[in-house]
Amino acid sequence: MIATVFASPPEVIARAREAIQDGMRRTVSK
Amino acid sequence: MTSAIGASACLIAACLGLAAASNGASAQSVEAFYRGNRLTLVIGYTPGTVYDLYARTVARHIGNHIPGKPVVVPQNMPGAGSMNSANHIYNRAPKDGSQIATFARGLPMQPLLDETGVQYDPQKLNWLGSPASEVSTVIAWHTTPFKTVDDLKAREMVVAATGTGADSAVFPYVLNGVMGTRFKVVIGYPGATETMLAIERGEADGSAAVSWGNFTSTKGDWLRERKVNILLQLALKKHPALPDVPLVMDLARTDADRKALALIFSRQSMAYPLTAPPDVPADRLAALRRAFDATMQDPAFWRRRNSRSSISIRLAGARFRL
Repeated sequence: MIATVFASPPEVIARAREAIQDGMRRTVSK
Repeated sequence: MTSAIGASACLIAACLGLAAASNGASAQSVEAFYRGNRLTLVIGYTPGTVYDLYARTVARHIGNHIPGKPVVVPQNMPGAGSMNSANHIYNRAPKDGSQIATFARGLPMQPLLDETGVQYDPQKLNWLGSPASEVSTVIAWHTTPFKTVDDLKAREMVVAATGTGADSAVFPYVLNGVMGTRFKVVIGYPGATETMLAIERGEADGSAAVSWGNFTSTKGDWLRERKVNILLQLALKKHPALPDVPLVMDLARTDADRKALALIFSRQSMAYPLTAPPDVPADRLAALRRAFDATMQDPAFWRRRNSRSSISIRLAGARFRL
């Protein structure tokens, strides 16, 4: 399972990171 | 000089021997090591959380399946969304098979997404497995205007979260970035209990990372009294109890987004991961893995788990070697 996740194509990992960063920018913290 | 060379040779031989022991079988039998010894199970959360309940149930039974029958001692080590315990088991725990740990399901993939605070290599940890999978849900308090996924895109919804790397924050971030939802994440709540209180008090509209198994066991009254709307489920597959609730994987707009969501939500299939440190002697690691597998087959484990946590629905393919 872990190995499969880490074997994900770089573009998939990049898109996931980008989505998190995009989503984070739209929020505020307590 | 001769004695110095001899001493060095002995030291090298000793080092080689230690190296061989760390990669292969230890000199001491597994049974001899564990008999009269204790196995510490480090839990990355506070007592009473769902991670804690699962871990303590495993702790109560796994010792019976390890040669020498060690006493298994749960030890709570909360902090940084359980990253403290992950860093501990990787860096500071003894690597002799006397400690194992459980922590947030997202931490095994965290180095791929954000390396802040990460002091471990998940590929070098010796995973034992997970006693269950999970499905997370997006819920909203019944008096709020959030009834459907479209509502999540139409207006800002305040969701309570514990920390920036926790599922309660990462999930709404991802949904904002991929689906165009408008979650406003309020960080700082210590745990799921405080999150639920925030929703009940009206501080937050809802949550975007409610583990369904935990929710049904702790907030069954909310479900019976229709206190919350269940808007979306976050996993690779739908929960059998939620056939009419949309699945996030079905809402991706592009193939790239679908693959990114699959990467993020693959953590749900290893919901309560257990691991040993790196470099545990191979025979002890094998014994721990056999013990975990045997525990998962132990009827006493499942009776206790269901009675303690009331998690009555065991998902298909619930036991994983990670």
